[in-house]
Amino acid sequence: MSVSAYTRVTDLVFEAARGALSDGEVKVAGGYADVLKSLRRSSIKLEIVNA
Amino acid sequence: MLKIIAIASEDGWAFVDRDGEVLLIKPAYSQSNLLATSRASAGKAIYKYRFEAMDESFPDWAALLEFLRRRLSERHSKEDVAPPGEFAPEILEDAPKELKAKLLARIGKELIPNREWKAAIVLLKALQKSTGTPELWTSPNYGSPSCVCSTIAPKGCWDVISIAGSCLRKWMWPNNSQS
Repeated sequence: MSVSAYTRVTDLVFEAARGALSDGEVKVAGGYADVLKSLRRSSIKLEIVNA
Repeated sequence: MLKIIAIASEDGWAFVDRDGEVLLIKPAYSQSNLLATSRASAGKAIYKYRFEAMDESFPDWAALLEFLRRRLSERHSKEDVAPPGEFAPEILEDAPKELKAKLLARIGKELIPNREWKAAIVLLKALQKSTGTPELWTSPNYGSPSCVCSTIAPKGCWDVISIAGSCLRKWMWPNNSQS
């Protein structure tokens, strides 16, 4: 993910933590977290194949 | 006998023990998506990639796949809004160092002076869980969280100070960290 995209998502997290977002916006932020987690996990397959 | 030993409900990946042989399976659950692996990889997936440990047995592949599809479907149709404390660590995990520093500065400049303790705690805990660097906390541009909190925050914000101190210890002396 690019720095600018991370900036936007980090700002979302900040606003979500202080309760300044609507439920819909918080769900969007949570969706980004799921995507990042999933991307991180995709390296598992590479690790297994290269083991 | 088939047994799921680790699962990632968000994306439907699972490590399956088939009579001692460990397999990794992921959607769309076809034979081509089945990868032979090891118990060590499953363990690594749990501690490094936050898979959930599981000990659930199934009589056959049909039952196992039905379980996985149902879990995936439930996760995707979930209407509940996750609290920021749940997803913030995932987002900050690999965030660039400068963004973490900016976030830390905003905690010190915006949240703590406004006495937004709950938000400060959520974000500091997320930063504490993510990978960081000692210089983030000791940079003269941002100040350490301990300094920020202890100088600005009044009595009653010991959670914030405690977490900030823990972050500092963890990142300054990672080998001696208790957290």
